[in-house]
Amino acid sequence: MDLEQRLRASLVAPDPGAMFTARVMARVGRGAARRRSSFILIGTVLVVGAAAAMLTWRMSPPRENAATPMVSDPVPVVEEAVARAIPEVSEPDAPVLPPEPAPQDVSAGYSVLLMPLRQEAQDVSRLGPVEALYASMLDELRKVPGLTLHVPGESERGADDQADYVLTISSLATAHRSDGGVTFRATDGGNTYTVNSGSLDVDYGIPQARDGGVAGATYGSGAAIGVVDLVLNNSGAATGVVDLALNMASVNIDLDPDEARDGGGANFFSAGGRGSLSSVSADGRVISFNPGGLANPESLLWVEMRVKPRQSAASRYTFPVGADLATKPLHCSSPNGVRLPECMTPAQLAATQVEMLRLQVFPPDAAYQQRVMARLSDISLDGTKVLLDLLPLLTGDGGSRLDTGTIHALFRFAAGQPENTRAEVWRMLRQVSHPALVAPLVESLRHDPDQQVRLAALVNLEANHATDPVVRNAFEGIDQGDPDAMVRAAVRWTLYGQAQWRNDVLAALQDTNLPYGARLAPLVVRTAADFSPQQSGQMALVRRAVLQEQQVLQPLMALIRGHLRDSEHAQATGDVLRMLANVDDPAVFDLFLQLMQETSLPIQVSSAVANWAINRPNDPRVRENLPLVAPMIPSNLLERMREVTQQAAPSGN
Amino acid sequence: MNPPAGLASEDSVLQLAQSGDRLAFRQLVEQHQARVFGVALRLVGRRADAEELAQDAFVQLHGSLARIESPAHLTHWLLRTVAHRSIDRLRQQARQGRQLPLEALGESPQAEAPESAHDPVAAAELHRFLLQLQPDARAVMILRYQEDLDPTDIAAVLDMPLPTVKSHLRRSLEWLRTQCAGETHGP
Repeated sequence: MDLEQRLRASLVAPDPGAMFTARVMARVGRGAARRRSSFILIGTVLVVGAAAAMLTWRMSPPRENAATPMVSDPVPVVEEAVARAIPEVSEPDAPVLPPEPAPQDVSAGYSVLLMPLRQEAQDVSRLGPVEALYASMLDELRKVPGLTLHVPGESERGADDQADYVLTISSLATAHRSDGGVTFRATDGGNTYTVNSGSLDVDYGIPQARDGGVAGATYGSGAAIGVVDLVLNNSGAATGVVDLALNMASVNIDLDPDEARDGGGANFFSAGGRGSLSSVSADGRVISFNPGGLANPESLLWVEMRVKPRQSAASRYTFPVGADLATKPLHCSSPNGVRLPECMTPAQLAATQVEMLRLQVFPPDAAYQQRVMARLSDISLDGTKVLLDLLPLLTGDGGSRLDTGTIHALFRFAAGQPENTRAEVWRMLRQVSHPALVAPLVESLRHDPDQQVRLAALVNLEANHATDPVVRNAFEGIDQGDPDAMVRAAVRWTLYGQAQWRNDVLAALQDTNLPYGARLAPLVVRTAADFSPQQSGQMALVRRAVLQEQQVLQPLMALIRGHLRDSEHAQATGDVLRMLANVDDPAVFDLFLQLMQETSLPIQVSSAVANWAINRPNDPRVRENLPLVAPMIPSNLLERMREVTQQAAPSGN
Repeated sequence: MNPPAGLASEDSVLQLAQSGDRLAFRQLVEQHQARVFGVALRLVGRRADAEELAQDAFVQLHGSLARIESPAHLTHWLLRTVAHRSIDRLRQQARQGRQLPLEALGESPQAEAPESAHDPVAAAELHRFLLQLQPDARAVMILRYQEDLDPTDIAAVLDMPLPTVKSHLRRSLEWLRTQCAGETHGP
């Protein structure tokens, strides 16, 4: 066989796995979920194995200096600007901080009462591992700086009543089903879990319906290879949002009451993998379950952990974990060849759960945050990876666990990163309105040399600090003085809104003294990734409306006609052509038809033309000229186009 | 909610996604995930990295939806994004002196594409050789022989002059032929 044939035969796009979509949706859903003002259920999915992987840095001390020598990376210009914006630096300049501060470093301590182990499981022969888990929890909790642990019988009299949190660990009573599954009920009595081979159903019975709440919802799951598809049936006539996090990311599900009526009340999503999933009800209760290792659910021993804050009537954190503790460590089986994280022992599970408590339940943890700062200071690490790992702390609870010192460390970290990472820091903090962010954001908006970073700072300021006079003043300065037309256009939209924007678009198009890019800038503003999909989507609609105006359309077409072969601005021209492709106007159609016949256009322009053409497979004029642009169209799309054309032909389309 | 089948439906799905419809975006992900992941996997060689890169591309897409003007543009955008991200990752790893792990070379074709693995040993051998190409050359080969893109399309996706694309193709094929014939010197 010819080498090229062999290459084609062997290079077939592999399947990324059924979890892939869920993970993407989880990541893109993260931002939107936090913008919701009312929600019924908030959840967290933690793939326990992945959490264990994350613990490799959380639970381990930072690298020694000797192991992470300083690297003399070039320092971008922005570092100086950021340094100016951070007048007070609370952490030392050394790249590595001490691994774990002494307990006295924690200014405000708290106490946890760990109740005696509740063994409700009937099979007493397998309770030993639960006892091991309990003992490990004790050990792990004792390591947490600032946490005073009370254990009944060991603590002073009266201490039990004063504990800030009460933690209960129980093995659960289970009932085996004829289909091989197992059913158990959480100790709060509200939830019944039915676990079948490869699937898990939770009857999430909220005892009392709340205003705008879900009166009763059912999670169902049908697992394929290592995948749990959850179906949330909104059996109540209410709207709610289920926010679930997967692998430290999150996905939210809107419960649309209209859809619930029309479509049977089901939205769906996929949550991937083996691990524990938890969701928080409106009353603050958390349930979680572990759909992993369900090959023999009847062999699992289910453990529930519940944390009840003293100040709240509700439990904050409860999880039943199906743990095959009796026969082997957790997560050792590998059904259907799915690659799994390393196995977890009871001790590792305890470490994971205590880490989750520190992240999600207990008060902001100075020791943890110091380790975050150490990680931010370790320039040998991959900046993008650092940011992803820090995401829960940086953005959790709207950034409530961020303090000024951590914020400063974050910006010092960002200052040493490439522009993409600097911009990403601003994007990650878009949901955080901490006042300590204002000064660095304004400084970045004014002085960062990169356009995308300035735009990201602008979006952040607009979202969180728009009413701050300092910010407003900065916006006005940028409007007058930023060297980049796109940044100026973006700020003008923020300052003056849609009506003025339309005038700006027209004025820029007509101003022959401006350079080409500046004449297009107001039109293409808000296409950057810094803007939320909602903002960008709204902008696309507004832009389409403006482009329907002949007063705008004609000078725009005249302008780009003069730059069709301008390779320096080919990207901008291509972008405008893609916008024009959505405009229903005979002159636009003629322009594209004419461009189809041009043979020496820059590739960005000709590909925009090809894109326009491929979306009009049924127009005879386009079809006639299609061979002219065919080289620009990916072969598979061209083939697809032919298929669609052939399918459409019998119906006369 | 369910769009009709066909190219027009792809347009509709894209428009729905642009308007903020999550299910539509999910559909876009499902439509394109195999090819995006596939390009990343063949480029970086390590499944976990490839999944991360492919996810990153879709997350970036979510933030850039308004700029996508057509389904064809979407395909082009995704390939371009994941290819550049993958090449950047490889260069970053090279700067850090990291080598491809052995298990990356062992991403066997039979596990991923059983229908194509009529000669799984030879296919695995080809994959190993491809992973030894320089990132740019590897990207060109993958887009050519996995994605079936013409050199012109590859030039657009990779921001590479067309003659460079053709040169990579020619030289890489020559080197692969040599390797398959049993030679051992590097690319």
